[in-house]
Amino acid sequence: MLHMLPMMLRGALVTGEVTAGAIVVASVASSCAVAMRLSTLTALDWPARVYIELFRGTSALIQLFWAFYALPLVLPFRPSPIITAIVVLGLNGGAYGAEILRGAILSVPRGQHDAATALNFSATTKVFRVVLPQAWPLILPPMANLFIDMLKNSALAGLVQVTDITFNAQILQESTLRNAEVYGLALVIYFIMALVLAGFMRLLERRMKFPVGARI
Amino acid sequence: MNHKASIEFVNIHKSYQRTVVLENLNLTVAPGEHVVIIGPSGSGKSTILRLLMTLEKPDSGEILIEGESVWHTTRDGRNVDASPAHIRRMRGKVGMVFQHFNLFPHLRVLQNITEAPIRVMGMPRSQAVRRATDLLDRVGLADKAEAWPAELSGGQKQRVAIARALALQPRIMLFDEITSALDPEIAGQVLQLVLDLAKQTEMTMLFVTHQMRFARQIADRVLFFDRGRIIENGTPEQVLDHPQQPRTREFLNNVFQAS
Ligand SMILES: Nc1ncnc2c1ncn2[C@@H]1O[C@H](COP(=O)(O)OP(=O)(O)OP(=O)(O)O)[C@@H](O)[C@H]1O
Ligand SMILES: [Mg+2]
Repeated sequence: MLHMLPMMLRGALVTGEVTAGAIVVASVASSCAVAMRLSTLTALDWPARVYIELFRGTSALIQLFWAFYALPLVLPFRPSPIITAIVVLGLNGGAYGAEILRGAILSVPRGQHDAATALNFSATTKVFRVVLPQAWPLILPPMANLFIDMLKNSALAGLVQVTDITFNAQILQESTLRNAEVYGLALVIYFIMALVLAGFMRLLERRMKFPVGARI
Repeated sequence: MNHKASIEFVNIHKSYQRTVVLENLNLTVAPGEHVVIIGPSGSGKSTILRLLMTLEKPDSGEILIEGESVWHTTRDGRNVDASPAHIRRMRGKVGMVFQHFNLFPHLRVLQNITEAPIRVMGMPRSQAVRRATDLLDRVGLADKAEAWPAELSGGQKQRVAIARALALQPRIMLFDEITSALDPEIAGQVLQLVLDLAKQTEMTMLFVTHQMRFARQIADRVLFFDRGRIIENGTPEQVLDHPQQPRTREFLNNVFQAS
């Protein structure tokens, strides 16, 4: 089993890259989408709605296949498999992330907005000093779930030639036929990566905490 | 007008969806005047204060603060919508204390007070901290600067909220049932604080309250308000002791029976 390790670890590195990249894309996409969703301009609200429904309403695998096999036909260039995977999985996660952000932001009580306005805060100050700090504790736990889901979903990238854990496990399985070891090892590696990600998110959560307690 | 009013409502209309809250409301408040608004639940008392605080926008009519329209300016002789900058400048003249305190739960007490001076007035942090510390001292909470709002009692929270509103040195202060969420003894202490404050400043003050004793002590003028209209308007003696309208008498009877 030891001789499988280097190849599986190389795969883990790629899985890490895909996941990290997709999380970055998802964070940017969900922030933009939620800003558009909550804007008072319907011209901005609609595209964001379409994006969210489109990516939530279709399978990530088909999105990936479509981006990998169909999109290059209309693009003037062919993006690398890993870039394709990062962007598609990122946009997919971003659609869910946008809804998490929206729910958390809307749950900040009206009284907080009133207080911010009464203190003559600018719109930016209101968002960054009043709304977001209170939304964070509600955003982080479901975001942690989403990111871990994205880690596991990154296995789909193996189906479009990205040499991640899943891809390498399949190659090893074909050459060694030792199913139990190969896939067992893959499970363990995914599990450890998920643990690390969850630990990191919990650390963030702890840093963002303030005594909530009674309604203010 | 040669003596500029602090606040003027001119033909103000305000409705929410199908509920008409204020209809053709006219109201003038003199500089430094203390006006208490009383009236049954849902009559539109909070709406008046929220309109003044620019938390709501009137459907029609003019709100003037120190003679200047809040929502409109004249350009080339025409009345046009005011810029956001103008509205913010007008909003800066007004401060408000809420029934449910609305402290920022993620900021410590001192930061709750320093946040606006630093970010809105651009005050240096050290000066903002000094001012906040003075204000906390004035509301009797000097030792709570580093506490979280969740660690305070209701009365303490409301004191912080008052200090927070004062930090911006508004010309007009609005108090919307600031003791309704407090038990009577604590409410009395908070009201005493406001009474002391009112004596020390020149601010124009508007109060919505159900505390008739407090109304009597603080008011230059009492307005009885029902279904979006001013039914009675006069000194505390006139309105509270010798109400002219049956509706006012009925309301006062109910209030006195309850307390
Ligand atoms: N945001 C809103 N949306 C819809 N209706 C509202 C809204 N705010 C207030 N109203 C309605 O407007 C009317 C006046 O409300 P307002 O809060 O001004 O009354 P109030 O006199 O302050 O009552 P209370 O003594 O209960 O605080 C009520 O009928 C209320 O239901
Ligand atoms: Mg009210």
